[in-house]
Amino acid sequence: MKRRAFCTAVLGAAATGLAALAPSSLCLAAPGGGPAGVSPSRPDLVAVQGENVAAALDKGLAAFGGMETFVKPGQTVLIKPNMGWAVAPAGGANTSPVLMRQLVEHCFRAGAKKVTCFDNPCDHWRDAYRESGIEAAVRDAGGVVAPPHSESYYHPVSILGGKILAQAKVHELYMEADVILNAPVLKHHGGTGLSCAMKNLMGVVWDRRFYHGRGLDQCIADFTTYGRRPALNIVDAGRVMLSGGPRGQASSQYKKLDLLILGPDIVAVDAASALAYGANPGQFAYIGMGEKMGVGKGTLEGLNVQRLRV
Amino acid sequence: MRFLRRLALLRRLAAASVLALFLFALPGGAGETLMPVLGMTQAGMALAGFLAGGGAPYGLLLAAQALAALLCGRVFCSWLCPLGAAQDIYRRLRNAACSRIRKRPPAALRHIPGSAWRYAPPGLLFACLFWQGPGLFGLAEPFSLFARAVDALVRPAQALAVNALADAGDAAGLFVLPKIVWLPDPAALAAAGLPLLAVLWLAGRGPRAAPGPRGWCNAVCPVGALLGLISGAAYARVRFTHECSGCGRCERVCKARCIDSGKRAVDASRCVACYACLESCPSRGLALLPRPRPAGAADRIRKERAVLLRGAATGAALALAGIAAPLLRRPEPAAPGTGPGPRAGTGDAAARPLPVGGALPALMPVLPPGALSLSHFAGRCTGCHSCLAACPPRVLRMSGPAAWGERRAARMTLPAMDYMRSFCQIGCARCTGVCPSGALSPLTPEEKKRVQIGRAALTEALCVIVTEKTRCGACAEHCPTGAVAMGPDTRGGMDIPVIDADRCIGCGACQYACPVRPRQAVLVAPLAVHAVALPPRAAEGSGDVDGTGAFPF
Repeated sequence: MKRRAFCTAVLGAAATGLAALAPSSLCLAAPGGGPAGVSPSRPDLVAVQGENVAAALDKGLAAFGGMETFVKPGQTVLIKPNMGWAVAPAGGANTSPVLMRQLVEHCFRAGAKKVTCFDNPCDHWRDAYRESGIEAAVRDAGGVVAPPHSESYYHPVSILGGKILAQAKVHELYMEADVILNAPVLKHHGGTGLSCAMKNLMGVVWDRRFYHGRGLDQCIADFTTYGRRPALNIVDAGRVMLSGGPRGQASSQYKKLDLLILGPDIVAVDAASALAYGANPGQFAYIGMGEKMGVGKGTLEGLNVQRLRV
Repeated sequence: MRFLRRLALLRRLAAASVLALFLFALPGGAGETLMPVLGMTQAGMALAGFLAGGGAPYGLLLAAQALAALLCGRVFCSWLCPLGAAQDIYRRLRNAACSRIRKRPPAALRHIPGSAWRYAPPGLLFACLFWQGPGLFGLAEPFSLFARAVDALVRPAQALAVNALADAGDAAGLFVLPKIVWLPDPAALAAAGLPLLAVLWLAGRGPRAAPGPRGWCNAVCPVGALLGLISGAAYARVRFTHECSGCGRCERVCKARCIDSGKRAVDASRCVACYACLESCPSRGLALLPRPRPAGAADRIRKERAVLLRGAATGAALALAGIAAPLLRRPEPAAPGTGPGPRAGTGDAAARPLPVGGALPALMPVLPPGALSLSHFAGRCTGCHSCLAACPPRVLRMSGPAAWGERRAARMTLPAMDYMRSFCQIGCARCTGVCPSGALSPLTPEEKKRVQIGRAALTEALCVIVTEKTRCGACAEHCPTGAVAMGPDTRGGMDIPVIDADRCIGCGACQYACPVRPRQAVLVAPLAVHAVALPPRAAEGSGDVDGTGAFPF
């Protein structure tokens, strides 16, 4: 972080207008929101069914009291989509660009100072950013799309609760944003069975091979124990890939759900997504691990679930 | 005559433009649009392409170069060659440093007589070209040398500058300028740096040492030697007129040291057509003339016959060499068998006559798409590394001598896929569009999706699912064609990767993603003859399952 702090200091001295950025760049800001900050009157989980994903998002956020509940005026927001693959939106491998655009707009309407977006993709980042349609959508809405391809963007952090993943290099934007929004796509995954909110956070870490080599499920669960967590998870379960995931193949089967699942509890969101996928949350090891480590609830029992239609 | 004096300026402009265009095309990222045209200007590429059996397109380009040389000498060397321009710029900077820093004028140049021995090094390079393929030839061929140096030496400098700028921008939260990830490659650095050092060392040598600021061009360069042979009979060339006062200025500025102002003679085979002499002449003592003045009729006829004969002989020799070279070369072992059987391909990929996959010879790396076969690729590639510059994920790298089982020196500069560093993007065929020698034949992104350059295979004993008893699936996850899938085979209750090698295109995504090191559990075996993979398996059943009824939870 020294390089970054230094650059910030130099630029801040040169232009007083930029000095305002310094506190957020120094990584001192606490993560906004989180499961603990949600009041009991608010729902724990919202599912919105409807073909129009933008309208579904509007309705889903309204159930939580609007984006203002999570994003305060002047804050910086990171939206972490899944744009891991150089595959067109119809392939269901990446988060819907329409959803991403609407999310960015909601953040700005809530008064966000800046909205950023990135993913450390599996395919070459230029192709993945372009083909997913997310780069264009976020830029159009006024967001910043940051590059992920240089190790110099990632800085080592300790994950105290991690059983295997005790240390990881995490992208600086994940460290700096006042608010983190996690916007995964629900799909099949050849390694873990299911890819959703918890798995999506793997894309803020530099070394994916460590996960695969040392225990994919445990590493995914380990990272969710890290102090900086998404304030809200917004799952795109519009056209859900049922096989050939996570990239999607010509032979992949899909299920049309037209569903959006929103919730601050990342484990509960994954449990609900597993049910939507047509499986039992217990089938996917990392969901159970997340619950056991106290990150969130692995079932929907006792949760205030709201079901809405557009 | 004022026009003649301006020629030197004009050629500086032309050379600088060519240099700038190449820098814009190679590290600048505009290769896809510029290289197909820029590559055609390079005589060495036309030569290599033609001698490797590239046929009419390269033959025409070569004929155009030969005709230009026959008409007005080695204009290529000063007007179109980026290495020539680089030498001139280096010499200028060196002279400026001489006078400004050391406070003494750069040494004046003097004529040296031409020796037939100067044809020995280029001759040796041509011998290498015929016996070993163009790899060693490409070490000295001017475009290959230049482009290789750009990728290995200019790119890190570019990365330093861009990354410093990007850091400043990122600190301000802009994130508009992506950084350039540059990883050192000592072999490529040596293959680019050592020949360049030799070029600059020769270019910077003083007046006593032969053979002058364009020393490389007249002592080593194979393209220069060939064009020199033709230019010896050039029609319009620099000649002395009656108005020469014998002041010797022209001799002192001649980069090729081929002007003898005492004898009033110019060695046209060494003249690189920079026309600095015309610029330097205070009177009209030098001009571009079709014949010496005065010349008797008999003399003229003899000269013109010589022009015709030399031109015809060089043309015939080249044509013969072009026909004979592919026949002389030892055929590559293209064993039948292990590849998939011939199949009726579909779509565009089938239109290209790609042979059936062959077995792999002793030791070879995975060749880039468009290489067609080892014999095609190794017979044409001069190691210019234009494809490396065009490759977005930088999976293409110089193969190095250790990658080969035979002809290691001749093949070390050839590019190959390095799946330790990255993998090939299925929808990208940029490398095939920039190759100036035809070693990589152009593919459309659609065609390339089916071109099989290797076949993946799993070593089950190394797979983490077996050794660590943990789920992984990184290989199947990355596979763009569905050739690698998890299951139906299982070990310890967990799916293991199952590979359908006939659908594998050898892109290396599985090998790159595999967490096992130093040797991955999934490896792509190279194909000596590229094949066409089976299309990805189509979806069973019709359409999506409808789940939009009741809420799922």
